[in-house]
Amino acid sequence: MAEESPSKKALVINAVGITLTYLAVGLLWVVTSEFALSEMPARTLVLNRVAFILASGGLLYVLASRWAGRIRRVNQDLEETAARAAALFDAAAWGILRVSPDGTIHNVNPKAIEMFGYTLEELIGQPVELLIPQRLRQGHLGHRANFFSAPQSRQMGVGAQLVGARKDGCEFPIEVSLNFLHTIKGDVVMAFITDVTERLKLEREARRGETLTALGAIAAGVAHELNNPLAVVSSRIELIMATAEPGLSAQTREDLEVVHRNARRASQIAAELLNSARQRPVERRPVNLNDLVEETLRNFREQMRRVGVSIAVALAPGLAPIKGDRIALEQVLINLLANASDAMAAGGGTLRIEGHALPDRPGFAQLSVSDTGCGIMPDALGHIFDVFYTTKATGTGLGLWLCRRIMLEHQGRIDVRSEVGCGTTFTITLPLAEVPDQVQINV
Amino acid sequence: MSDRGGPPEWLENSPGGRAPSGFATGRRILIVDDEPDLAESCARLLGLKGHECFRAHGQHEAMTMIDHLVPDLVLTDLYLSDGDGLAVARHAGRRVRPLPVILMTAYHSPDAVAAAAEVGAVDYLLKPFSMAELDRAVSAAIAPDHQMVRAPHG
Repeated sequence: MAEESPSKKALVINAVGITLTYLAVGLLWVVTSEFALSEMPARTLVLNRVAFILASGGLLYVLASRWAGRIRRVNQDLEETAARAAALFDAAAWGILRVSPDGTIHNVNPKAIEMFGYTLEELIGQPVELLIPQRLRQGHLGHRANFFSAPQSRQMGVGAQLVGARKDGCEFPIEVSLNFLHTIKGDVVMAFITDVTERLKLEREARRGETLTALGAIAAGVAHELNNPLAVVSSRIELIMATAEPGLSAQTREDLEVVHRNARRASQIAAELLNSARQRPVERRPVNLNDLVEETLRNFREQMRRVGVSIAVALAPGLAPIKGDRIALEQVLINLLANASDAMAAGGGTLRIEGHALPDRPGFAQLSVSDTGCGIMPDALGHIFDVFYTTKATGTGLGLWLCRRIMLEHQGRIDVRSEVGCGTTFTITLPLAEVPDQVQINV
Repeated sequence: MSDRGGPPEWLENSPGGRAPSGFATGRRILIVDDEPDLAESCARLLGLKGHECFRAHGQHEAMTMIDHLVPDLVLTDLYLSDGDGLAVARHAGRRVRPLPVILMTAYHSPDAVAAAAEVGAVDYLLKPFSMAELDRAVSAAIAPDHQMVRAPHG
């Protein structure tokens, strides 16, 4: 160490001082007390005594300086330990509280201050119950009394979810480990606190991912195992109707058609379930929205014409490509067009598709699909994006849920506006593949 | 399916009409599916259209029948209990005069489509398919110009 601490210097001075004092007192003894009484020649006696004094003085010096050195080393160790402890205390990833048996906070580290949002002054001297939600404080008093009746270092509240409360009242999940210390200044507990909000979130996400993967596997299995028997059912019904047709009554014929239609529907549900549960890596490529709309619409024109729906398309020419997964976006459009078609199936109407860049939100494009169909009841409107929610007799409740999931995956959004009897408009907003120049200047 | 009465659309233009008259215009088709009921459905439908159908229920049986019967067309499921429809398709494609193959599957996936393209299948039917769809696929596969479209495999 470059700098000697004052205590070390004091120790050395002490050792020298003790030795010098011993020598001085001894010398005084040699020259004064024994002279007159001795029978030995004075010279020999003096030399003997001086030799004894010097020898014992030297021994004492050696002992004293070794003792001083040892004390110095112990002191050094102590200082290092204290410095290390202070560094740990200040830089620890845990929030650390030093609490006395009566529950008073004696010290907190910066992490704990950051975690709970109080200042150091606001915490010191306060009961530790300040840091837990109001509703749990009474219970904690009991737990604390329990702990100090048989103190031992342990994890706090094993198996239970502990909650901390910030100064602003927000609650957050924590984990606490308690370390009991018995010191001469009294008993003390060091509480090590970890904010587990992030960890719980990650765990939840991992579990959700597992659930989705499992759902995907189940859906795939269901689709596969159902489609084979369904293929047998529908093919046999077609064969019956093709071969035994003259002998079939109108009623039988109708029954068969209902069976057939429902077999097809069952397989459609299985396919949709499979489609929505499939974990497909999302591509991020430039997609021309106008082309996508035209291509998807091509498959719908005939169907729309049949139900008496006219189509009006207003796409901004030269709309910049958006960034996304073409197949997934096509799925969104197909679902929206199918919904519009269903909504207008009863009385025809107009399907209107508009696409343009957003002037007030640069870097985004918007596409809206409007119908003049039956509209959606207000109390249903809040649920239409929920999984398995459907207002249609033959719906699966997967279509719009899937649309919303795809839009979220694209950092986009889907909105709906509807009025019963007037129609419905779905609007999707998507990020452009490249941010336009003027935006870069603005930023 | 037809709307009311009358024979369904897919049966109307069959070579033998409602009662197939021999195999003059019909082809020899091997149907491979481990689901015997579905294989029979397909065989009966294609029989109505005047084709001669053979049925195999597994990969090895199918390969043996391809070698011995030399059908004009192979219609195989992608998943077979004792193997793989792709192996059947490859076997059919390795012949001196490669046979056209139509793959059927109950489990639609991009991988399956890619695999079907890789073995040179002429069509890909997703179960449950309608009889009209099956008829269309088979008619297209046995059309005279199809042999040229299909790239020789291996």
